[in-house]
Amino acid sequence: MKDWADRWVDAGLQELHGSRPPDLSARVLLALRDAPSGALPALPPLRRTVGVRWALASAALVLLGVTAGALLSTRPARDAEAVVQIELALHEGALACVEVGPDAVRRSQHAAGARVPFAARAGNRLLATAPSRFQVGPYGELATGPATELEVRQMVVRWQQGVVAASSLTIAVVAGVVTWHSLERSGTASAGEVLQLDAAARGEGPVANAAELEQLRQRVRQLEQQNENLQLQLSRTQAEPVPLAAAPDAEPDAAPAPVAAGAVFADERYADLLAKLDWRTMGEVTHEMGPMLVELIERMRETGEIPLDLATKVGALNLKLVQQVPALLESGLPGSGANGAYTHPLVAANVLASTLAAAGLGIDQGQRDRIAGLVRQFSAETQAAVDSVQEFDVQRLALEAETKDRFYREVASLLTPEQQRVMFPAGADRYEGGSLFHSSLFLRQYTEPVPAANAAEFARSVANSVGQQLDLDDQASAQVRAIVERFAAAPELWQDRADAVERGQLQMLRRGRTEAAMRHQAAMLREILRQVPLSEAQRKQLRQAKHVFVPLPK
Amino acid sequence: MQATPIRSEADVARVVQAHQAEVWRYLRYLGAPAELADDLVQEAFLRLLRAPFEERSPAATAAWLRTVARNLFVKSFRAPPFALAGLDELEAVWDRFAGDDGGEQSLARLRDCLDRLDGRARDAVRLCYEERRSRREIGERLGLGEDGVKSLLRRTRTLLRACVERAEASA
Repeated sequence: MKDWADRWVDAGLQELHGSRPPDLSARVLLALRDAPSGALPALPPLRRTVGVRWALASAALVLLGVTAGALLSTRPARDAEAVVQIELALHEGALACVEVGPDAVRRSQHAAGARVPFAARAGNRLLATAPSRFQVGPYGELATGPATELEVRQMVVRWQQGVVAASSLTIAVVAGVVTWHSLERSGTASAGEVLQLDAAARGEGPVANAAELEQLRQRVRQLEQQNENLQLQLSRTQAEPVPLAAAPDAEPDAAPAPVAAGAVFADERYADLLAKLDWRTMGEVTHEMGPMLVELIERMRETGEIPLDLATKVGALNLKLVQQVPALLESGLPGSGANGAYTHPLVAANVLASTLAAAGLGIDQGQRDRIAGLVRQFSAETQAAVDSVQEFDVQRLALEAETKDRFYREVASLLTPEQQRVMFPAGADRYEGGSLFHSSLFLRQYTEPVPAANAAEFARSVANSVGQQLDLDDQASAQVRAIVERFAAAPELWQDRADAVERGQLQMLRRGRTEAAMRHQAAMLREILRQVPLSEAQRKQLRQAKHVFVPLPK
Repeated sequence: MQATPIRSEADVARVVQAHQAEVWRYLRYLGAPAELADDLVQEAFLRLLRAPFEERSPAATAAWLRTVARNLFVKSFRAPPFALAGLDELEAVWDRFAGDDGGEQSLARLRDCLDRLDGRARDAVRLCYEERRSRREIGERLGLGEDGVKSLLRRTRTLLRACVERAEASA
């Protein structure tokens, strides 16, 4: 029990030594004038640029997955606090940042137009002296009233299946009032209230956060639809397909190409992107990282633990790749989700060329020409897959994955055995996420491993999740469960019990599990649509679901 | 008592000036840092004044403001929801020291008691509350360990509290 009398004396002594109550009447009057009852700072409607920022942040997070896993492996919990530097883009008003360092408190003042890094550390503050509007990294846009003070309470990074699935920033409104608008929600908070901003939101389990998850999904779908429309418009403006060929400076002889600082494979539509990326670095990193990923998995398989030393090295390399991600996403390359652009044939081929060059096994002119042809062909196929009309979105995902894996295989068939070993180090093909040249790099964002002893247990989890997402009544949920159980009974889904790598923190599934699950999921969804009475909105939701439930046999 | 509607800025200023010190002290008593107390006091008044508000009695207004301020403070904790345990005791101690004047009289008595303090206890209070030294620094000055400083400060506050209570009783 607290000794409240002692607390009173303590507070009294502090007051006698200078900590006096201030006269706040002018401040209260001003606040009343500036923000009378009911008037809250307003945000303009969400613009498409937010989508780009969102996608950018997501991609960065996904590529950071292994690093996060390493960091988190030192903690028992699945979530971890982290000090993350985020960018504040001040659109209007004036903002002061108060950042508490180990030795000093740093205060900086910023005006509209400024873009400033801010450490999202608990205790750090943002002070808006005037009505202000600013973007907080990937977390959304905030509009404040005058004399508003915000304090970072917590920064949490959540990860799933080896990727950082979400991060959240909890901010307390110390004074004033703030309206925020992130992708999945918006609202207003006033002094004394706490708001949580999420950079991404995947359900933490089959039955968790279903409503939030669904809100996010809807938002993502809207953004993807926008993106598809824009892609469509773009493709319509291209009267003739732009020929894609090897870069014009290609040497005519068959000697190995020099280490590429620029792109080896060109496409005029993405010339800006190709010029922006540091292909040499990407190649060097990929060359170094490939064997490390295999070793990481091998050590996890042996011990069940993430080897911190190795994971840290992988994470450091990964950060170099992440630096390339913003340009990739802004380019508008077609592909699903965060790593969809990264796995696009044009990018993958250039990464491969620079990786081989970094290994001293650069492609020769003949390979270059043939791969350029494959890039042209598979770029068109990827675009078609992404634009294709499917009954379920999960089918579109499967088509995109199949297209990209076919591209990787075709390219590999043009390489020498030595080059193939660089592209696919021995052991890289055993687990999803173990290779930087595999569709699982983008598919992992959508997979949800469901540990289960049998089809019935799996069906219970999935039916719960689907039931919550669609807000089904008990009878409909029971129908869904029966359907899921029937389709989940396929022997190929239960062939091998999950090993230490799959059960581990990174949840890297054995290669093939997701692919098999996607095949059965489409049929299962079709049966649900056929049998379960659903509203039109629920049917639409089901068709647009991208979550792939993957049985993880116990 | 007849209710008084708040109509003008002068009324607002009057209400704020009448109660702000007590609400601020109350928040400090609960453990709010000074800056947070400033902000929460402001917010408590804004909530009071934005709502249709009639001043029924100073005590009722003060009680309303304290309740709002306490709730705001609780909500500002890092891991909400968080409840202040022993609310009755907390309020009883506060009422005793705050009295009818928001704590002005008790504070004056505390000042008198402090003036009578001497020796190591006075030094510890000066170093802690005036110079804002850490326990380690105070310990170095006074030849004590950190635990010793903590005990000394707590004993000193107990002495001061007893002194204030005696002064109250004899008033």
